[in-house]
Amino acid sequence: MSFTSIVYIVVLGSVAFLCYYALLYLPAQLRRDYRQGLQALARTVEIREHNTTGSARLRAHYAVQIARRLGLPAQAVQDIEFAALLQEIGKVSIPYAILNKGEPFTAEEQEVLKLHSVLSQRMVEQVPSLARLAWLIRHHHENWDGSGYPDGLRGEEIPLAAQILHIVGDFADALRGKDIDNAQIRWQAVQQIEAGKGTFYSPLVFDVFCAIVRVETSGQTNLPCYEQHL
Amino acid sequence: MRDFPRKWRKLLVRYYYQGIILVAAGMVVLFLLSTPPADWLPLGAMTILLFSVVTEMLPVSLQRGGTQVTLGFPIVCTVIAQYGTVPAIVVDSLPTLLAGVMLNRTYPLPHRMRWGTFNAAQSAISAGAAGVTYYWLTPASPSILTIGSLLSLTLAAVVYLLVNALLVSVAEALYHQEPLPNIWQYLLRIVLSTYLLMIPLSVLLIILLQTYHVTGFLLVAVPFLAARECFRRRIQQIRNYRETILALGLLVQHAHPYTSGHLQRASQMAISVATRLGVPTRHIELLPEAAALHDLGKMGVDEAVLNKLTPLTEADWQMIRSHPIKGAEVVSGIKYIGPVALWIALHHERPDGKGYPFGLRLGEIPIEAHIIAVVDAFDAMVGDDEKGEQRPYRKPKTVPEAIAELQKGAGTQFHPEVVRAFIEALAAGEFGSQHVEHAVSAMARQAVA
Repeated sequence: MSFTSIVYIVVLGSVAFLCYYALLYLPAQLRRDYRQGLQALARTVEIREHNTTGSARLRAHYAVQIARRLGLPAQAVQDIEFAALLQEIGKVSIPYAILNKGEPFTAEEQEVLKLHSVLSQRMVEQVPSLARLAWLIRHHHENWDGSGYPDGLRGEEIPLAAQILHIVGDFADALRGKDIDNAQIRWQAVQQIEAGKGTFYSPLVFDVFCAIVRVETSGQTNLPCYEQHL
Repeated sequence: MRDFPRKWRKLLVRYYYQGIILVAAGMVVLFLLSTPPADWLPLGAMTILLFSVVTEMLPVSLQRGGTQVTLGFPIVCTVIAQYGTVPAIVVDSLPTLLAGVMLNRTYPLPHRMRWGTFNAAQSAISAGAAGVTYYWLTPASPSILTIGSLLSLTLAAVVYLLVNALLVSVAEALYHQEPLPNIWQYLLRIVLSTYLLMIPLSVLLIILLQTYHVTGFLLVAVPFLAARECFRRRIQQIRNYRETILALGLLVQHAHPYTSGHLQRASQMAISVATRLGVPTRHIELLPEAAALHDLGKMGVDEAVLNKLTPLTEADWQMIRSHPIKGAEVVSGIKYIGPVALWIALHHERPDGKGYPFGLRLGEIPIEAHIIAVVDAFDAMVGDDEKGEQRPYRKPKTVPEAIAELQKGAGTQFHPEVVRAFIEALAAGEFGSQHVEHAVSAMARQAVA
């Protein structure tokens, strides 16, 4: 092989490598960085609110699955994942005593707890690179029948991403204090919130969610969800 | 360097700067006289000059401050071996001058002219020294692929870097009033290691030039520029990521990320103290995060306990003692700032072993944790009346009182060296001028005692 062809192979090879690096590796690495960083910061709420360890990852895991199954574009899936991690972050501004009191809440306490979606929105919108998620986070407690908060949106007025966030948020809440790695317990939690289908949750999105969990849990007992398959 | 009186230092900076330029100018004239023009103006050198201007115009910033790496170094090595010393001086200094004047538009023009000229002069001297070394070791210029010429190329590169690092670090030490060993160590670690890796690249360039002349050079230019671009993007990405995480981390602690002078001051203090203590630069880079996020664990503590005015119960204490570990748990998940979690976990340890959570003693605690402890204590004592930073259970102290408190705790509650460095930095006015008098008088009192 001549010197010339070796030089060409080296040069072309390095160009190919650089294309791969700039177009595939760098964006993927950026996603991984952000996922880890936001997971870490979401942990702040989990150390504040008792018995919620792992719930941010659980929310993100199912939010991604639902968004994929609905055929949303990759950028939207990523936004939904990050929003699911951050949707409860405003709870750091809610008094510790109320967060950890447990049922039953008085009417005032309930009002205070309901502030968290707006608080999360305010926090996230102050960070320029995450500001686009703030709007989704604001609406993650809007109910399908219009009885939710903060704006009382109904049906298709609610952004699709927020419909997803609502379901995964309530699902993680139903698993609070339970063994989230146990498939049967997860399936029970789905059945527990199923009463809200059509009143609280979009029927379509809930069915998709239900199907995902059913497939995932059938015949399984131990099912850690800490891996994100992106 | 900070021991000089102010007036002397100014004179020194000026004479140093003018001296370097004079030496460079004299050297260039000398070389021009000793070499006929026809030898140092070949077409290839001109092309390379052009290319070098382009690369110099796209500098790559390192993470710390404004230090920038330009990839002109392999080009200079190549030109030395291929065309001689004079073209190398031109190829190195002219683009540096142009880039220095035309980039960094935030600085005023005289400043850019001044430092552009200085940088051009110092790179001319470095290139000249490298060229002399190379031709002194290889009298004839045979093929590059002999052990002898490879060795002399490497030696020339090392001479280039050493001369360059020496000239730059003396200038920086004079200009920024930092101790010379710190800057020297910094330059050697970052610049030397990055640049020495480029010697193989220079060898490749030289082989290609000898085989294909200018075409060979252009063959390398495309991947070379693309690699620069990737490198730059990656650094930009990491910087954006760290900014985002830091901003969100501050928001979570109810602090305003962009308006809060308090946290900026705290990280500035931590950096100054660490620089004075000779903490490794890669750790100094992480101190802003450490200073900003060290109390993240308090989010896991009931604020009713933190703000309690009555005596705390054992359960309350247990909760408060858990906050460094909780903070470390959160921070340990954040990428690129690994060691910060350890410092946060240990920022309430004391040299006398009475701290929490582990009760470690002086030698067992990293110095960065001590620095965070001192800065945090000072800030908490002096208080901050913007946005309710004052702690309800004690009144804010005046600056002299806070300094006295730090000195009293030196050796038991605080690391004595860190306290000394902190007061020195305060006296040097590094955190703004308002505390200088108090710190100077405290140092004077200590000297008398």
